[in-house]
Amino acid sequence: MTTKVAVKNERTNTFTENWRKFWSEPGFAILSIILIAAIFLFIVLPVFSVLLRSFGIGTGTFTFDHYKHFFNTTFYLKALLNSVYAAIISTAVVIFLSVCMSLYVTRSNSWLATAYRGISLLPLVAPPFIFSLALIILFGRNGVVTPVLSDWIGIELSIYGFGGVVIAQILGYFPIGYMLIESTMRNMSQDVEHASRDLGANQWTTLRKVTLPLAKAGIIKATLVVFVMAIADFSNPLIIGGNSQFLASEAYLAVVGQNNMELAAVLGVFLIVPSLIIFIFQTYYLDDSNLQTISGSSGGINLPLNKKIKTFVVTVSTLFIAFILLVFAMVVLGAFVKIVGVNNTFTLEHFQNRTGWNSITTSIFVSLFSAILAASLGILQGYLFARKTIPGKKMLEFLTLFGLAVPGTVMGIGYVLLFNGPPFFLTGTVLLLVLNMTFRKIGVGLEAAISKMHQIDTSMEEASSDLGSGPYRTFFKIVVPLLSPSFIAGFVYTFMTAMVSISSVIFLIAPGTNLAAVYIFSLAQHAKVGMASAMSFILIIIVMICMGLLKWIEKRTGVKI
Amino acid sequence: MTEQNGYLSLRHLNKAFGDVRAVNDISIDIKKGELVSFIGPSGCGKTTLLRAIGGFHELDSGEVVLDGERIDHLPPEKRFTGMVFQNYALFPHMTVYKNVEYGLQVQKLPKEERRKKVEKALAQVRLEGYGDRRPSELSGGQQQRVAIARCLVLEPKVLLLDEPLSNLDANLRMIMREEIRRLKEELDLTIIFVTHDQEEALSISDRVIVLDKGTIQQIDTPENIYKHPANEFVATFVGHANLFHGNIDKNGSSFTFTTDDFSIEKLEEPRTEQERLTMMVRPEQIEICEDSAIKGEVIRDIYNGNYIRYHIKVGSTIVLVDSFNVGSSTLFKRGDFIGISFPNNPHYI
Repeated sequence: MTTKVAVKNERTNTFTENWRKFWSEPGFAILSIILIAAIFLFIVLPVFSVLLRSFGIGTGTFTFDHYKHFFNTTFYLKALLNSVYAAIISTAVVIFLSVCMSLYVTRSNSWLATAYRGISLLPLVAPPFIFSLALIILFGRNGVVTPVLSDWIGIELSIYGFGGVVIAQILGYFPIGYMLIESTMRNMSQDVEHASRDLGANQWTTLRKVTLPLAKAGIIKATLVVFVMAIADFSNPLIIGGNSQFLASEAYLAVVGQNNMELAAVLGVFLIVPSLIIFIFQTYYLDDSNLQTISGSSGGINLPLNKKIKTFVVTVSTLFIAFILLVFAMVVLGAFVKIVGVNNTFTLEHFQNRTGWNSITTSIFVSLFSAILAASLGILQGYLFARKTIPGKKMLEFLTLFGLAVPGTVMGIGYVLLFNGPPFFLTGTVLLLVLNMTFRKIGVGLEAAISKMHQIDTSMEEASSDLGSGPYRTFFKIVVPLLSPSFIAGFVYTFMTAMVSISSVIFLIAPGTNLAAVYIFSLAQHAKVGMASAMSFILIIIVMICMGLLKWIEKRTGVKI
Repeated sequence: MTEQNGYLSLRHLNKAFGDVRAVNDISIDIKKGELVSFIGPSGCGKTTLLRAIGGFHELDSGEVVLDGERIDHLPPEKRFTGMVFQNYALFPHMTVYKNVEYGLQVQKLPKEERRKKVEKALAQVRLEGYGDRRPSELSGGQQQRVAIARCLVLEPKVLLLDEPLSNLDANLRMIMREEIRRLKEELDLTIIFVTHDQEEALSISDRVIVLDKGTIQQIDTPENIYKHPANEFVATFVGHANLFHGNIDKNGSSFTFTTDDFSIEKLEEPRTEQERLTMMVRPEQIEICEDSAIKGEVIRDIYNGNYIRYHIKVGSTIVLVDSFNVGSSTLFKRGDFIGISFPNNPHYI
């Protein structure tokens, strides 16, 4: 009995102790409280309101009717199944392609491998629906390839539908899967493979028994990330989904078409559940620390791939790279000729689009503000969480990072539910767009800042206070400069993603204001291929310049971002 | 010249990385049951050479013959070499037992036979009972033993050790040195040992091969390498050395060596006809004695515990002298003038 009391006392003591510490620097304490309130308001509450609304809460009732409606309507069940199937297929293909490409790129020093690597990452700079657009140009009703196929081979092919969505997803999510798998393979000590060969295993056995098992953590992570993104895919189904239904697109149509927030909320719940499960799994169970090999320079180089394996991976990689290039070529072509395949005369008329240019200006403006806000808050939070005693900070960190994993559609619906009335009345304002983009991406700056803070020894700050500077001066003079790479990482990432993001903001846009991605999306939806291509082209160029800037900063500061 | 055939013969090996000749026309014959070490500064080509023998670097030219068979064109898995990597390269996703069993499994040996061999190999490196552990749960020295057992179990014709002790602390390094020596004696292993630590090389090897800039500087027993270095590089790379440039002349029945600053008399006859020579004297070969004709000023005295190193300035030459700290000897301080005497049979380069 006594021990229990003692334990309880100790707990209360540490709690009061922490609370006292928390208030010892009131400035930071108040900032923390504001930050925490904002995280709740702009990340946690929107997700909760979707969950509550799916049970009718907020309309004065509590009911399972909306779920019943969902399960009794084959239409929506089909949307669920289509989303899951499409995600499974595209994830499997993406992982297969990523493994092949990674094997080739990490084991070859040729310029071709370097070029492949660069091209693989190209889709990152494009709006998420650009592949749908390109597929329409290629295989759509007036597509470049369509008549060839029907005339010569006699196949009436329609890209609109399930297959088209899957292909677009594969192209769109490949870079993410590839980056994750390639980095695991690149960081693997080559000596472990050498040891396997030295012990008598040939390359194929080594691949099966050593290389792939060691890349397991990266492969699993890539699988989860790609699956979550694919299942929540919003734009591809709306552009080339044809008559097939998908979760995110139906949620959007429920809001826009039927103004049925309850149904949208139910669909949103189905979108959030897989992300939540996978996010928790990834955070708590995917610990690859026991697979870390002892690092250190091995001085070795990867042994070249043997002929059979090399032929296979190079063939697969080449075909896919060719496809990516074709897609981008189509968009560029689409931007500069009248109608691709029909009237191939050069023209700039697609660029003469006042609405388009205005929307790009708005996008830059909104993205810039969001990026500054997200990066500043991210590093501030990173510093506070890494150094200060804040009650419940583990939970808060989890929630902030979860903001990154929540599908945009769910956030969008949540924001509509929460801010479309008293006491906020924020829907349709530019402010809400900025807040939405900021808090969806704040986790990037936070992660960068926390990992940076863990690399910086506390003695640096101790030295500063030892030399007579107070906590706030120390923060601005010592911590902020040290965290500047994290700020830049958060800024550039948020800016890039904000420029092309659509699934969340599309719910929050007022008539009259237009964001570039949303505008291009509606052009693509109405198959206005020329203008959509032209605007996409401009967007790609802007995002590419940002990427270049990021690389340049990386090189100049020598900091890996 | 007749070609002497070793158990492992390297013949005219060449390997260049761009403009850098990492391995420059190297030929070595290694006998069965011999422990040979490659030493040299970093970038001398020792690791490249070892990796070329193991099959991890393709050579530009030359032959590697092991036990009568040319192996230089074979992939690593077809050579009967066993490599212990500097970072051990244990498979982190397998237990110790599985690591050691790996090569046997590849050979598709029956399970029972595999078990016997793995247990024997673990016993040889004194790791009985560690089979179920993961590499990450072992200390550096234990990981090292696993890496060795993993090779031994396959009974390789030659064991290749790439700076195997460099990741261990000083005490453990001594112990593992003894262990490797013991295994070599017990199992009659042929071993190539790469290191940049000259003391390690001298203490462990039957023969030492000193490399610099991709070429062989000297191949000899540890004693000869230390006492009779072939050139100035070997003299200064292995141990500390005083090098004096001067002339030698016959002076009655003995010889006199004269430098710009001093001359050493009553020397034995050198084994060379040259007059202009470089004399090499190790610091511990020089004695401090008051009645010597050669005197100098102590400009530094470094207390090392078991010996004291003096930097003594004779004219414009700095002479290093090690004096064993036997307790009864006088300790000199900076500014003292002392006499030094040289051995009468120094080594000439």
